[in-house]
Amino acid sequence: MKKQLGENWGVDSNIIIYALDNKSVFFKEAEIFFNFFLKKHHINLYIAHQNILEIEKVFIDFYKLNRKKVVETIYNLLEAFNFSIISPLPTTLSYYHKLIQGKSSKIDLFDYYLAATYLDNKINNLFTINTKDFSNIKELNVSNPFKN
Amino acid sequence: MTKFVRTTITIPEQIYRQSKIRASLLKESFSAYVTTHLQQGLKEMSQQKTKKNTSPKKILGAFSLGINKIPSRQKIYEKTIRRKLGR
Repeated sequence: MKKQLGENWGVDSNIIIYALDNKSVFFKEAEIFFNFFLKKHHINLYIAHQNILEIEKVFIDFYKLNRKKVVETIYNLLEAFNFSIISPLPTTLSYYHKLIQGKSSKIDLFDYYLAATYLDNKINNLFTINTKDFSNIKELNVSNPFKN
Repeated sequence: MTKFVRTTITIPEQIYRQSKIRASLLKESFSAYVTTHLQQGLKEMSQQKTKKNTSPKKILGAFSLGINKIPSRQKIYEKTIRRKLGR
């Protein structure tokens, strides 16, 4: 991860979900990933509102966990690892429309709106497991930290 | 040296009366009585905050679910959209 030092990185929902479930297939990898940030405080981690909602949706709706506990745990994690929370800006919608211009109708619009949110907030890097989902967005540098 | 300020607050009459009685039973001025209790409240709040501050390592793996695959973003939203559209 040397070349990534000192940069601003968004963290996708999947990484947080695997990190919060100690029996998940990627828990060990997620633990190594987050422990790295405990030592390297000069890397700034960001998370978008949409990601927080998606994490809550998975734990509360799909896995039927207690809402209060889920919300509290997510906030604890974000606080512990010094995440900054970002949200779509008034300009994000037009950024998103530019991003999807000329793209196939099969693309996942929600992935593009998330990418637009990060890019509009001047965050050009994203940690995600599904790098393929963002491979057509050349403005966004994506990396799967579990493969490094 | 402690600097004091004079302030005006609005509290329920019942609490005011009870506090006045307790302060007089303790042979304390009303100001001293209120100060002691405000100090106590502030101390308790800061203790609660420290208690809540769990170590980052303990937050990781807070749940035991065995998640193997997370649905795609589209799937996560799709269910809600379908329901909203009544499909």
